[in-house]
Amino acid sequence: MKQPNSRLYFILLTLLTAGGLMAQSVTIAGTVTGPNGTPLIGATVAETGTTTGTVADLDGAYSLTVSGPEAEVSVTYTGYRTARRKVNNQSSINFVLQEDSETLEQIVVVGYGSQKRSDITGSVTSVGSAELETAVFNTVDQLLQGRAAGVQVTSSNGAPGSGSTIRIRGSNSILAGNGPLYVVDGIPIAGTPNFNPQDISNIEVLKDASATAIYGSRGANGVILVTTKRGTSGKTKISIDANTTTSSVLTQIDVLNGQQYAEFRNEAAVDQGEAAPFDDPAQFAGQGINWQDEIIGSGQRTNIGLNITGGGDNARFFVSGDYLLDQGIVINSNFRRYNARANVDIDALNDRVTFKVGMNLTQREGRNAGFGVGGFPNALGPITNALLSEPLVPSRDFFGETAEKLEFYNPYLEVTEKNNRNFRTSILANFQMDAKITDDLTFTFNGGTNARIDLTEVFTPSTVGAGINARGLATSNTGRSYDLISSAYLNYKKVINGDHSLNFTGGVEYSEFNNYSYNSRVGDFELEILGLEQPNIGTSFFGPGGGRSLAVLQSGFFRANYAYQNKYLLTFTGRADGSSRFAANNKVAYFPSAAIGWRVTEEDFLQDDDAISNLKLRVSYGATGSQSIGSYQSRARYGTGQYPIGNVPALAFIPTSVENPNLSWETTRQFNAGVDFGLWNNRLEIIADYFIKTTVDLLANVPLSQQSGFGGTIDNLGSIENKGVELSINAFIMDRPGFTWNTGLNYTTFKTTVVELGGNGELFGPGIASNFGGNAHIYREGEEFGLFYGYVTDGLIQQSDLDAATESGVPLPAFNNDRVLGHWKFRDLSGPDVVDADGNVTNPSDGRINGLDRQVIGKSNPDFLLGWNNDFTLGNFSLNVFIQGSFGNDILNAIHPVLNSGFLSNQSYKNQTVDWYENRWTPENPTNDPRYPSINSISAPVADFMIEDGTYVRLKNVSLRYRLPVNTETIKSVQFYVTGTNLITLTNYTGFDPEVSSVGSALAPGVDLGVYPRQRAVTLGLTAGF
Amino acid sequence: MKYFYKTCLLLSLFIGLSACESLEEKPFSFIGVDNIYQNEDDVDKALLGVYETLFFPGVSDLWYTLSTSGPSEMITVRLKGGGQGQMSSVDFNETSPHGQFWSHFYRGINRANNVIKITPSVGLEDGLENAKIAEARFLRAFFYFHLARMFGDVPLQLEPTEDFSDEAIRKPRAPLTEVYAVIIADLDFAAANLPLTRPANQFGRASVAVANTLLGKVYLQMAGLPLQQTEQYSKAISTLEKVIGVHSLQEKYSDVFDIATEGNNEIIFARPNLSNVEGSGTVMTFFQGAPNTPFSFPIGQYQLAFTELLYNSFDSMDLRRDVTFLYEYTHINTGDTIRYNPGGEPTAGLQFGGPRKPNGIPIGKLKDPSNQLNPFGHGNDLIYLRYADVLLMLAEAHNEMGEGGTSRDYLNEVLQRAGLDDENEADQNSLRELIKLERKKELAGEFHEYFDLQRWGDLEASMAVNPDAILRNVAYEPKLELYPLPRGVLENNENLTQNPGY
Repeated sequence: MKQPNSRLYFILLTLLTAGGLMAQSVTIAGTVTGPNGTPLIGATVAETGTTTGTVADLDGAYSLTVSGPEAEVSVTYTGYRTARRKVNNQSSINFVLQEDSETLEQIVVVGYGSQKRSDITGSVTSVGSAELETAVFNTVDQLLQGRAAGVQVTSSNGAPGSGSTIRIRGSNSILAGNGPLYVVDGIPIAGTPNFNPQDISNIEVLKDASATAIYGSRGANGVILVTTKRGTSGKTKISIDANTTTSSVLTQIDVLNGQQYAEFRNEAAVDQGEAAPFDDPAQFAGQGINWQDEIIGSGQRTNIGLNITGGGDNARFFVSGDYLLDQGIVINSNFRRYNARANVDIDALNDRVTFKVGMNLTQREGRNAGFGVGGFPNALGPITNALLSEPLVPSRDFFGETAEKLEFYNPYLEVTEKNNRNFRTSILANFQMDAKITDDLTFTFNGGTNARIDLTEVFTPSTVGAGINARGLATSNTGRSYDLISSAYLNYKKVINGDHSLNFTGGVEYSEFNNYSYNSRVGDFELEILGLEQPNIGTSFFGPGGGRSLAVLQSGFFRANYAYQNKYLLTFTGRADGSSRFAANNKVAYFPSAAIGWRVTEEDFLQDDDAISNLKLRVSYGATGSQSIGSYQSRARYGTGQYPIGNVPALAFIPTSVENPNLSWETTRQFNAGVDFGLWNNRLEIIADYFIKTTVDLLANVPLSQQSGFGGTIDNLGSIENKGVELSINAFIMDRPGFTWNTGLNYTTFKTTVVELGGNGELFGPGIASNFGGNAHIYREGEEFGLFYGYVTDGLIQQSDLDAATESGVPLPAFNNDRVLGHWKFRDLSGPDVVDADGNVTNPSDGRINGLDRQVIGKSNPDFLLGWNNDFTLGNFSLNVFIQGSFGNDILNAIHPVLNSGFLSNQSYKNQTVDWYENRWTPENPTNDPRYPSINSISAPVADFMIEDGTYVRLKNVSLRYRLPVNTETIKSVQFYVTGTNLITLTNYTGFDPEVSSVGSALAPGVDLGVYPRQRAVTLGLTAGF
Repeated sequence: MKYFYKTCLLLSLFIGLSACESLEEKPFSFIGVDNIYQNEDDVDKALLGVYETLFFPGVSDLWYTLSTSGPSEMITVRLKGGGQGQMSSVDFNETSPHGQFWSHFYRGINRANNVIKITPSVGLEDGLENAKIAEARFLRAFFYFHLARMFGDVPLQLEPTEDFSDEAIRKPRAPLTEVYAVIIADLDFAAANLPLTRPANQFGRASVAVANTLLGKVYLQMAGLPLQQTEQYSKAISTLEKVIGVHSLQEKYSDVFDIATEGNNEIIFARPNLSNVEGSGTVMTFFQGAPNTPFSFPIGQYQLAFTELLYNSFDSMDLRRDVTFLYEYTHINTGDTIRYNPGGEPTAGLQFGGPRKPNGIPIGKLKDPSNQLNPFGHGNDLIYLRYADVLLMLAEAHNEMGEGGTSRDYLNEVLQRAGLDDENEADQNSLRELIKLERKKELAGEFHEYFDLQRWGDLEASMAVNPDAILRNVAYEPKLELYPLPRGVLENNENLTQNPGY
């Protein structure tokens, strides 16, 4: 590429230099940006092989004088790959650095400190801000879906502002919670952070014991470290981001229209020997209310954010404000968030002390689509009611009784007239001081608070659900929690004789968790129009409720890192936790861990290898715990009640629990072996980890023999094991000027096995909905966690079955004595214990269909999870394509039998699906498919035909950005973007959406109760930097 | 622990900020167990906690009614498909709704055991101490008597649960005779130590007469099936006779149930309920309420009703008929007269429509016109024991002992109040049938029916005419004389066995 004139110039320059003149140096200028045009503030721009260098400013601009045109300029920036360019005769060179998320020099935040990635011996996955920028999401947990190996994210439903379930390396616990610990800027918080995720600079997911043991009794489920953005010195920079999103429902479920419904009802009535209620169904052709259309529309989301960064020599700031309005696809459901943050860093005492203050205020307000009243399925709210409500009522505003004198649950009124609003005010603030006592020794104090006030208020007018009975009902629930956390620790870093590096951190932490709640209800509103705004109109007061709890955690912790010649790495961590939640005999727990690492590429035989740029082997073992049961569980307690002796309410004492002085934390022991492998200057990187986790002393709600007077207790029993493999592959497939393609694939597989349960080795999941056929999960020793348990169908009852029974004189085994043609035929799999002469116990079938005939009918855990992220840049365009999927898991489609059986025993007739109606069992169509029973089937217990394959692959995110080629004095950058979310989902699942987890309990995963559907969304946005 | 605390203190000095709190838990929203019993008042609160067991959670007043009165030819339910239908058609299985009473009653037994154990440590004077223990033992007997009649042989828990060892909480069944021995011992102690009477402001608490009535009822049950210890008839008589003079019949049958005359002298033991106070009222008024009557929360659920069979057994002169049934009423909104139409077309608003035929006649015993607000907060007391029951039990016991004259005297006392002529039947068998019928009419829906049918051996005959059993095709089997143990109970205690036949 050398051109003659440059050679000439070079010769000339050499001559001049040789002449001792230095004036021939040249000055170049330009910008340093990331692939998507973000200025890389503070990137080091230096002449290779010299000490000449500068840093890029707030706009990413630099200006550097180099020795001459032959000089090579190199640009380095943490987290990006170093770029080198010859100066030649250019005066302006713009560098676009490619991300290198696994760069060895990357600084990774770890518990109570930070480390170079190359020094880390544990399993830590980083998610950088670049990935945070391409997707549209409301909360941080949604972002992590599919982006980090080992992390499983399932959002509970598609309602705006709704939360997600996160599992890192599977479920460890039955009762103590399986959610990870979030640590925001060093402050461990309860729950999921709900501030604006655009303020996040990076996220680290700590997975193995070496990384998490320093969080001791809160580390068992993994730790997510969230670091917020901070200011950098230089000119003040303003960045504005505004976007708007339109969304629509992913699927609709076809239910019967007016005419079909009339035909269905007629047939159902005639089947029962009654007169048909509709004379001429054909007259309803084209009529009937499609309730889904009435309550589901298109959603609209608007987000405007602004952040300002800058600072001088001694202080830096990052301040931001953000407004989000997310109007969901169900009318009147919305979510609003106002967020303000100020992060300020102040250097003092000759830079030996740095104060870091972080203040975040979040105000969230939402209006829920709400939940109905009564038993299943009405209690599930307007979405389910929209499917089930009969189409032939006079108007969409109709309320009152159905033809059968039952309350009509009008889904439209439920979302329009019911006011279900919630507020959350949260303050997350911390004050950190880093003081360099000597050059090697740093003292850090970090104190913070996480304060939340939650208020949920509901007014149910007398036209809707519970309000009908109460003649207008206003309820108010307040929950307040104040968590105070302070930690103090020392860090000592020293390299001795060049070969031995030491890095020691040790300190203490004190946390307290205060919770307060209060709720009240008032009914009987003569005037309803003022609703929640004037609750004293209500004249009937129901007793208020509330409570208070306090838990204290005191801890000491340390981490010691030792490296010999940067080849051999050793890490020891430990934590002692004293928790008030634990019983008298077990107040303090100790959690140690150890890890070794070997950086093979630092050995002589690989040091100069052209292909292998990084090879590190890691092994760790350690213990973490979970203490997240409620307070006071070990205590013998008395509650209070009322008994109206003499027709006057009088206070009564009621024993509610028995003391368990040995109640203890859960201990999770984890072995992890991993390899980090980089090829061709880390163009291709592979990180693989294998882990075995065993949780012992499982905290579990143990059902007791009811003759004890107690339904259950909490005890340490049993054990759960998780084994799995995680694989991340990252590759720069194309890295040409003007066109780059970076792809990242992560694969997660794990199996959770119940090792030991205590008692009789069997535990049932909770009932999944009131009035629905009981529990649906079983936990058994030696079997997988979260298995579905229920009856097994053998098709439908056919005439031949009844004939055979008549002939043999043995009645057809039937559930609830239901032997009607076309109803479900269940397999009589087993019966009570039969002991033979040798004492062997068998369970032969007994001619009855009862609880003994249930068996495992599906599994809720996926075989594996995949996430595939692609970043393309072409000139000023950049494109992100993100695909994510879950494979091999089953879903209990609990709403299916309600919509596909024609009759509900405890409710009036409901609308049904077209699919069922057209394919149902009739004498003319004697199908044997249990999904299509005959009309008037009574409600079924949990059974195999409700289990569906939940595998899906989803085009989760496609984001196209265009950077306007502007760079003026005021406008530094302008970007437009279009982002599509949930564009395509491939699945065989017949419900609304295969990503579903309707039941709150960790013991009832994978159940679809037909809640708020997920949406497909398209976002248009603009980002500008000034 | 100490070491940890000191280390923490040391480090805290170094930090200067992190406080070292004690790791003891401070209770806020509950009462710690350490000092709960200090004086008589505390013991009374704990005793009320035992009574509180009778407030079954949620809608379980309905399940209590359907588990006691339900399995008879006198009750029909609107929803034949689910738990209601199972109970009214005597189609029990191990998940049917009766099962919850196992847990409810054992919860009460544990509470009673707790009071029995702890009261002596309070230091009350002897008589008072025994009176408190007697009250707890009465309630324990009340619960065990229910368990014995529902499930047969049941485990005997006589100590409060303080740990969850197998010995403590996984006892096997005890033979029925042992269970009855405990019940009798408890009631003997109760009758000997309880206060003779209770002032009106203590209505609802046990007294000597309450204990004797229950004891008499226990003896009568033991004399019948399945134990057939006929020697118990005389004990029943001598025990029940002690109630005579303490309680008496109300002049008017309707006054027994009228919410305005609650606590009247005919009532021996009842659960007092308050209107409009959730958790201290009953949902039964609402569940048996006919639609749009002025007598219960509007849109009464009409979940259960009396059968036409029961209605037809009443003489038209019987003053009790129109109290027992709400045969006709005025629609609260339209002013229309809603009248039951026997044998003919179902009356609008009163039909158990669709596949849920046959129809029932609304129950009229519980009326709470004051409560228009809260379906769970009706004020009608639930009456467990009343004097007419005592008279009919005396009539039954005397007749079984061949003392027809005395028997008829007691029976006639009940008949006279009903405005009916005296009975002169001399034949023991005929008189037995008359007494049975009179029990059904006098005490309909008052939680006795299934246990009466057990004792008489009449369940099979009842099922033959039980309209819900006929509709649901449920045939009599001997197993139906007892309830099956609930599945969950069997799963949580392997030392228990299922009742035969289930």
